[in-house]
Amino acid sequence: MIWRFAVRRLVGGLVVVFAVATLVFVISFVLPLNPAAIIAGPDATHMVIEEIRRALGLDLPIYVQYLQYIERLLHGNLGYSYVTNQPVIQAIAERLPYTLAVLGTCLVGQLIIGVPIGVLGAWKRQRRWATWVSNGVATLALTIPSFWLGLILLYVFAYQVQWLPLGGVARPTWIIAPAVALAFTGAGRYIRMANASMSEVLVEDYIRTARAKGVSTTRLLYKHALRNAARPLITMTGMDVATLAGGTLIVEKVFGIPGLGMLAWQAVQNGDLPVISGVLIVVAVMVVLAALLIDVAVSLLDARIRLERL
Amino acid sequence: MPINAFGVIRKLFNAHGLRLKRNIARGGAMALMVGAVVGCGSAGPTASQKAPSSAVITAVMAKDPTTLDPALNDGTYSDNFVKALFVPLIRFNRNLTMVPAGATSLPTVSNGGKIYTFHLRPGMVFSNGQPVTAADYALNITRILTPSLKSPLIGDFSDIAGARAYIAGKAPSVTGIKVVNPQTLQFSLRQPQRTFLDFIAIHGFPVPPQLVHKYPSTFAYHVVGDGPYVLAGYVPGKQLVLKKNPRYYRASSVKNSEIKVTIGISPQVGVLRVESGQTDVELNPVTGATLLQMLQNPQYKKYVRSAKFVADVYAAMNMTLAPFTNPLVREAAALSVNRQEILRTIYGRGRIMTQIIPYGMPGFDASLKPLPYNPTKAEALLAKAGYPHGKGLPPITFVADTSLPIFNAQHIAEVMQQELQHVGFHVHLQIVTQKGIFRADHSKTPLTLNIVGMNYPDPYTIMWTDFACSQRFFPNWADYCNRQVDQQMASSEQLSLPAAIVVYRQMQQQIEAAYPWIPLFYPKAAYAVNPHVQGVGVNAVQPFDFAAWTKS
Repeated sequence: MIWRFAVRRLVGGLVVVFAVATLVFVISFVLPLNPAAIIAGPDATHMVIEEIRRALGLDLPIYVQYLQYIERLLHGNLGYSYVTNQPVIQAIAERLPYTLAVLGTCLVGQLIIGVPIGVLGAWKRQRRWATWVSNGVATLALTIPSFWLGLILLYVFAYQVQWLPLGGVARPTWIIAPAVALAFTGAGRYIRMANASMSEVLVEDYIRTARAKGVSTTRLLYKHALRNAARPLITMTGMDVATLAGGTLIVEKVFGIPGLGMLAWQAVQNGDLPVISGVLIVVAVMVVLAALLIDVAVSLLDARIRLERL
Repeated sequence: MPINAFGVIRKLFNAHGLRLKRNIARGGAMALMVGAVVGCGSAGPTASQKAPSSAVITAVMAKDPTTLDPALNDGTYSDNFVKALFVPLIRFNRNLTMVPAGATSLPTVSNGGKIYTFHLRPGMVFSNGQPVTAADYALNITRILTPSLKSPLIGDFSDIAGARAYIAGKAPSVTGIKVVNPQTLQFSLRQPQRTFLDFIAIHGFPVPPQLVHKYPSTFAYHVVGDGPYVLAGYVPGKQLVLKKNPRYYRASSVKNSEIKVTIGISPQVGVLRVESGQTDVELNPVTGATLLQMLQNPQYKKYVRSAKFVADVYAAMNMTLAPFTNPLVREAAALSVNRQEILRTIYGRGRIMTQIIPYGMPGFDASLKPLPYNPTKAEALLAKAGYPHGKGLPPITFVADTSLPIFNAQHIAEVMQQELQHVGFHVHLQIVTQKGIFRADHSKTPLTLNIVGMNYPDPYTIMWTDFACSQRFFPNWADYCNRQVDQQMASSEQLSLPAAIVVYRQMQQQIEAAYPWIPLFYPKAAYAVNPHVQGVGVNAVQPFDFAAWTKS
């Protein structure tokens, strides 16, 4: 039954990706970009620009260009960069691992920092120190911009004490500073969410019953309470995939990470439409897959949802 | 005062005595966590504490070179790398004199300046051992002229006989490119063109035919050349490694064994890397607050290295758009800007502009004086034009490009905005990126801040791109069009450089009298370079001549 559910979600996701691809094509015509002029550079003559325009196929009718674009997409071909002539799929494949590494460590880090502190705040809510810790860390995390924390981490740990690399990805330790910067600043919402969700669950009758039966605190918190409080956290993690997939640009710029964000930024600066489109489509695919995984995970946690959605 | 995040962080740490020395690392993590180490001084670890091997020079840059393919090399980011990998037939030396490189001598010119014959230096080989022949040079120029490659250089060689027919698909080859024998190459032109040799000096490289045919559009990723270096590794966005080419014909003149460039490092982080000795050279120009902090810091002042850079920085007034259709208004705008003040905003890294031909370019006239700063006269001119105190002047959109190299365009534009408003102009700033400039509709942009640099040492490069009628709006931002000047420009192509310079100086006077620009300054480039690295920025045509870099 879970498979039927997953397949239905996947088909829906494909429709979304197709819509994004079409939208990207339409937007590229709405933007006041002249790719031929961009490629030709400032010293080019009109003859050169016209020749390049023809070579790019931009003189063809729009519907022909659209059909060619969709045909290429169906063959897994995202086109070629206007600037480097490199296949876009190759450029993305080279950059994606870095973005996934940042995204993955950030998501895990957010959960590792956010959930225990949120749970602590809810469990020990009668104790003033616990509330202070929970609220204090959450507020700090929510107010510090990730790039600012990143700069401080770089200045202290990379420039002054030189434990971490000062930008770039040459050493394996490159991931530490960006992951900490993003995870800490993102953890604030998880603290708040875990706190609120656990606070609701911890006053439920079944928790009182479990406690009366003598269930250990750890088991009570992490097996009985957190399992039921986890749904909004999992949904939020899925939303974070979408936010982070396209939103790691500033952190990538600060730390010199050659990820998708940097690729997209350079493409925007160069007016490199195939790369911009390619990145948007790949991010759309990532978001669709993340949404699918989240739906499946939530369904596995709560059979009622699975049945409702079927 | 411009804001620099690292500068602010550094000041915060220093102001509170929280200088963290590297010995904290030895002291353990606890000491760091409480931030309890107190130091003095104003900066981080010094380069001398960590001097890398002298044979390998490390560098950082913010973004990838546009290409490593000589047929696509547009001369901005990629130029230094292409010249590190390939040897042109002829080249410019440090004094901007044309000297032979891949050729044995400068070409013999015949048929009234229409035929150029090059004799190749014997024994030249690609780094894979394959001999370099005349056909390899011919192939590169033919590739440039092949529309499907989308080369931005196609216009530079379109005056070769038969090139236009080839571009239009009416001929299978370019008749004007003739491989006489493996060691002799001949170009025939439609008409005499003095700058043809300049184009050969900056784009006349050989390419290995097998690889080019195997990777017609992605040769940039499979580069094999005959230059001082071989491409030992390139991961876009991450790293580019050049290793000394033992087969290079002047291998003994290459002063280092390897250039390792880390890509994707922002200029601010790059400077920190140079200061801390983790990198030798920052390939992005240092500007703004970062430059100021380096200049003010006695320890790091010596890390600022000036580089030769021949260019004009100016604001182009669109002569077809009100209010700049009126020459009095243009003159008023040109007189209202205090160029000395502009120079102060870039910490004196430049010279006030005196003429269109930039300082350092052949033909620069040292006796000319800059336009005065005279707001009183500017106000009077505006009144004479029918706009007393700016009353009735339409608002002006001022486009400034933040990605222009060498200086901070936004700061300059802000100062200019204030000064123009002081005499009565109503100026709205529009800050865009470089490619934003390209895509902006310049037929509707009254004022544009821009820089025009020297591609080759001939005033024609600037006169033509910025004032020819055929270049209106792009990149002739002022939309200056004077058919007489155009004719002079066309005929100047057939003169020798000294004779042409006389013409260019006359044209310059004529153009300046029309006030198409608000002249600003000739910029000086500044780079962060470890003091033990020498040879950076000594060649105006090629700022980063890697082979000349040495490390003590």
